[in-house]
Amino acid sequence: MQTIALRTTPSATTLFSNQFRVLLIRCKWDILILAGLMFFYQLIALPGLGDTAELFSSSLFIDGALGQPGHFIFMFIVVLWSARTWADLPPGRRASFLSYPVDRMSHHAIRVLAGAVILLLVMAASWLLGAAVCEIAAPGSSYFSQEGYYGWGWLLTLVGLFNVYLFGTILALMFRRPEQWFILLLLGLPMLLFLLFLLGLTRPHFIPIVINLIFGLPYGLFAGFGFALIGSDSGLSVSLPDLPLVLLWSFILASGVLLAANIRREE
Amino acid sequence: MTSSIPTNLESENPAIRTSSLAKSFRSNRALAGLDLTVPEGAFYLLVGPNGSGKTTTMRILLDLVRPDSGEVEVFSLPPGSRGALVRAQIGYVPEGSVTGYEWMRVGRLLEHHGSYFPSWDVKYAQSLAEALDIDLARRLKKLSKGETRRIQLVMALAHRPPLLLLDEPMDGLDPLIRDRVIEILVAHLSETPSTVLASTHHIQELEKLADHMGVLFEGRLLSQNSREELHRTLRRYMLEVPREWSGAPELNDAIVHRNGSGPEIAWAVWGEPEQVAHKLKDSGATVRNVTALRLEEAALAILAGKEAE
Repeated sequence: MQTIALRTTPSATTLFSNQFRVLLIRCKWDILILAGLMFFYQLIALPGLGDTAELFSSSLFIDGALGQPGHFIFMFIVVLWSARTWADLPPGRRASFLSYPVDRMSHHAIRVLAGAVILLLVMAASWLLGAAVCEIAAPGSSYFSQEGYYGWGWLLTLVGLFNVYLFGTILALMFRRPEQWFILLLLGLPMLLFLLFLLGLTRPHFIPIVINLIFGLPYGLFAGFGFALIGSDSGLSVSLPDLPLVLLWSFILASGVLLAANIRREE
Repeated sequence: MTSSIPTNLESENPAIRTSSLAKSFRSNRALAGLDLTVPEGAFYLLVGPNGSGKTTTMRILLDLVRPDSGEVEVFSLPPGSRGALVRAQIGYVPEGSVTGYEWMRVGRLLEHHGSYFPSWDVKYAQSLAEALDIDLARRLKKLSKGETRRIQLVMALAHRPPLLLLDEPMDGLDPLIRDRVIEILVAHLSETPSTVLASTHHIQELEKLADHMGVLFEGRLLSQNSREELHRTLRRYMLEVPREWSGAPELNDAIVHRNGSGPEIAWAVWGEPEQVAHKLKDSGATVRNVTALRLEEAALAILAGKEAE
């Protein structure tokens, strides 16, 4: 039986403000670059830069949910951001916070949330600022004014990129070099399929089917990232993923983050 | 009465209690059935050679490492399921440096660290930093081992925890700072009654503070006693023995360490001094001198005796 009065643990709001502040200070340059890139991408839509916009659109056959060529590039930026979020707390090492009076999973979840809030704030602010500049420079030129803009399409893009962030976070929590794993996955999967095809191992079709089901469109992980399915059978058609599907992927990936946060590594 | 050196320590209110604690890292066995009892309010010195399991024990208490088997309680709380609450009671000075926040300046780190502990005493942290000559403007990545250790001490003490886990707290500190750390610990313990579990290779430096000592060897305790008990019961007997002396079979279990050969030998023996002396005389030896052992001498005798087996 103990005779001391037990000390309390910090509140979740204290932890969040703590992690939010740490990330803001630690990643101030990353945040500025992230905001700058997103802002710059809005300007590509200006009529004067129309050729550049077409060049970007036509060179990327995979397009973003809003028809933004930036979506694919933003994915990389967001993955890099998720890696930066954990750069000073690499998994599998004797990190100081592990001896703090915080549950490991809660601490990780709060840091992920702080990183997500910063990311979403930066994205929203830079897009709105970019759109405002476009409208001032050339009315009707921003994405929000263009034909094909869907009322809630921006939400789809935000949630899609949030899912990319969660995916990058899982990699960051599981591996020491998450960027390499992301690139490996992105390039490795098509190469694996190609290799299987060359070796004639795609005969039992379940391997590519399963891979496509998990990662591919219209229901796989890439739909969760907000990618649209581009069809060209009867003219060019763009089929956006359903928001509930993208939100379902958010739930799956958030569960994955919590599981990855719970991985114990002991020297 | 003579008997082998005890490893069980009775305490009504143990701050720390482990029972049959075992832990291996792959094929390396770190703990092999550790039964540790640290009474509340004690300054417990955990000593042992490198790799004997001192650091692993502390890391299990913090739930940084999970034991393979056995039980552990800190203030009656199991770290495995109440890790956060257990860590809220602990000020921890880890062995070596830990990763994270190397980009921060010392002042910001202390502020950051303090935000995790509702009982963080800002003024006390400042006074400790001054006393330990810490430059708050320095970046962590530029700190020396000694500077890191001083900051870790501030981080451990300034939230005035009821339990301090000090893993080699003097490591990397220069002699002047070591003396200051002792003074700070004395003052801290008088202001903030706490339990301390400290591991060290510099026993003589913490000896003044310690009231209990456990000697760890290959993941198991060889002895666990209060200072008074050790002082009273473990003694060095300087003996003069005749040629062809066959020893003292009755004391075999109680002899902790044998030293010397020929007519003059020195034995460290556990037991009531009068009874031990009596049995030695009965065996034909002449007891020339009996001395109590300091904690460091006791630890060395216990370890040397084990290694000689």
